[in-house]
Amino acid sequence: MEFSNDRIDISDLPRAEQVEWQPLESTYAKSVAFRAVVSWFLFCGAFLIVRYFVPGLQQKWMLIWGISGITVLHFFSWLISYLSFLRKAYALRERDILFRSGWIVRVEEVCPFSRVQHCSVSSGLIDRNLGLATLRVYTAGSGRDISIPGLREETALSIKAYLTQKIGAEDEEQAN
Amino acid sequence: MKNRQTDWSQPQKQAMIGLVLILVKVIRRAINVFLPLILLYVVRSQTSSVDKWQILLIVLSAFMVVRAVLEYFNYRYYIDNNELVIRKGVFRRQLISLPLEKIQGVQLEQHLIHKLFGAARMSFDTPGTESTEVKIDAIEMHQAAALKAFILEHRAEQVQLPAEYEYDEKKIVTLGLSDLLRLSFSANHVEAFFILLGFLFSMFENIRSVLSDKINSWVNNAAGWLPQGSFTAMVALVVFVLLISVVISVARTFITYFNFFISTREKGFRIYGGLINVREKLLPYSKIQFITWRANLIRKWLGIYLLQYYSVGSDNVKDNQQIRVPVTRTDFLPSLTDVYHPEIAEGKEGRRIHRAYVGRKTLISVALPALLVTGVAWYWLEYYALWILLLIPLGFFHHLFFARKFRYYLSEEAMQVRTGIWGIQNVLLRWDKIQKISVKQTLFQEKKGLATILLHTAGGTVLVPFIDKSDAFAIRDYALYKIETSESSWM
Repeated sequence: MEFSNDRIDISDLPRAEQVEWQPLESTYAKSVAFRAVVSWFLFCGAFLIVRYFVPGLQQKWMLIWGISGITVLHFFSWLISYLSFLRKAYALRERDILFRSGWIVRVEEVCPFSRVQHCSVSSGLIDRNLGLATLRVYTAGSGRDISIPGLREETALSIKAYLTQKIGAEDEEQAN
Repeated sequence: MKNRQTDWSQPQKQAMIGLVLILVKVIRRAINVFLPLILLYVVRSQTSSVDKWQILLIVLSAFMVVRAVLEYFNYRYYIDNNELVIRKGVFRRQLISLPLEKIQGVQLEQHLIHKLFGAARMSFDTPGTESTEVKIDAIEMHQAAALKAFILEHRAEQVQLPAEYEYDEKKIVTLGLSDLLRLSFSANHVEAFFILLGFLFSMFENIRSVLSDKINSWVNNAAGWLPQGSFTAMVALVVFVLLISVVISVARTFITYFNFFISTREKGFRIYGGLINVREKLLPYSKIQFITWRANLIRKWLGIYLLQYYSVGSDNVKDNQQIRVPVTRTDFLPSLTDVYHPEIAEGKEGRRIHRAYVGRKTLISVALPALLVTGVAWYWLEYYALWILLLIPLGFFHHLFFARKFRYYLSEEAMQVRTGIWGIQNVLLRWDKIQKISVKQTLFQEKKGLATILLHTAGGTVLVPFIDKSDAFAIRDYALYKIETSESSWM
């Protein structure tokens, strides 16, 4: 790189790509599968309800095509979710949080603690039963948040507590 | 008074009216989800049994009521360890914590239904509030006042806004008549033409509903004489449209920038101007996240730029609310940018993006959609549909010029991006203003060792596509170093 910076040697800077990534909990794969199954049932249910009320959809071949279509779409959606689950990982460093995601488009996001506004921990019905939660780290402005799913609930809460403590410390540092 | 004794460390429920509000919200959401079923109900055949629908309606209503009740009873807010905590959700439980020192303001809103029950909606302004749901939908007024007082008291420091008037102001940009005329004539007349077209179209639609028969006969008459019309008539029409577009551009420029000036103060800019609606804006220097200045082809020749300040939340503000400053003389530019960071690019050789950008962008954003549209259009247009494929070479040259002209410049404290196919656009971003950094790689980019870097700020995102992966990572590491060691506040 051609930075005109005499005091700092760029090669000495901590390198984010060398960070040790923490994968998501393996039970999150079950959550992905369960969600696909629940969604499949919901779509099939909705299709059957619509079919029940619309006489034009009541032929047998419509039923076969409809259910097959829903199944194929759900299979591919599950496959992509599963492949991206394998890639999803996070890392906490002294001063920032990193999250890696995406299978077709691979994304690595980094958010310094000094830019975190607040965080939240949430869990849906399926995740809750599997003891999982999603940690969301909010920065200023919209659409620039980091959302890490598939964490054990205790892990998510302890990262949240760690981040909150870090945010407080950064603010105090700046005030001083 | 009850509010005096409120212990905010204990979880609090919403006001009872909250139940009604949640019910309304759940019904609204359900209508969105079940819209197809509702439509089916409306257009159902008379022969189908009504009982089925009644059962479905009862089941759905019961579900909505139960859900609203559960949502109401699961909602709690409290203050814990200098954080406002909101616990909510039925199927999806959420725990939101908002540090009190991050709250910049507390808003109370009262709709009619709130007024009837002595309640209010309370929302909390933070730089990141837009995408979150940090608000209490229903809180009794006395509770709201007490909570607001509690939060404001415990906040680390009040946000300092610049004073209304300062006498040591210095005007750095003023626009005279000649500046306004230069701005008007160099404006984007194509845009003005489309505004005119949109206006005429909406007027035509309104008139047509009243005078449909007469208009049809006029259109028929016009269709009769148009083919006989000479070349001169067509030219006259084009000149007429162009003249009207120029007049519109002049009017727009005068309405927006009449009596315009920008002045500097101790802590920020004061921007003033306008003919009908006079707008005055105070922009603290610290709130500027990044700056752009751009020019179309004509303005580039004339040395006129339109500079825009992106401050916190700029990407959520309407276009006419953005802070734009016309730069009619090149010596104005440093006085507008230097307070943030001086321009980097001038006289320097910038870094380029990879040439693979051209082929890839043409394939994904032009060639594939054009082939798809041609395939569909073939059904109606047959061989004429092939004209659509002309978009591919056009797209190719567009991306080729874009990639050739794209430059980015790096310096110790900031970076600058210079783009433009016919015109020019500059983006100036200080490292310490970045909120989050993303490095993206498609499978193709990964194979080629390339990446796209996105630098997110509180005012919008600056993007550098198709650069070496190692460069993207180096920029990320350096930006993180600058953010994490910066001692100045980003806002």
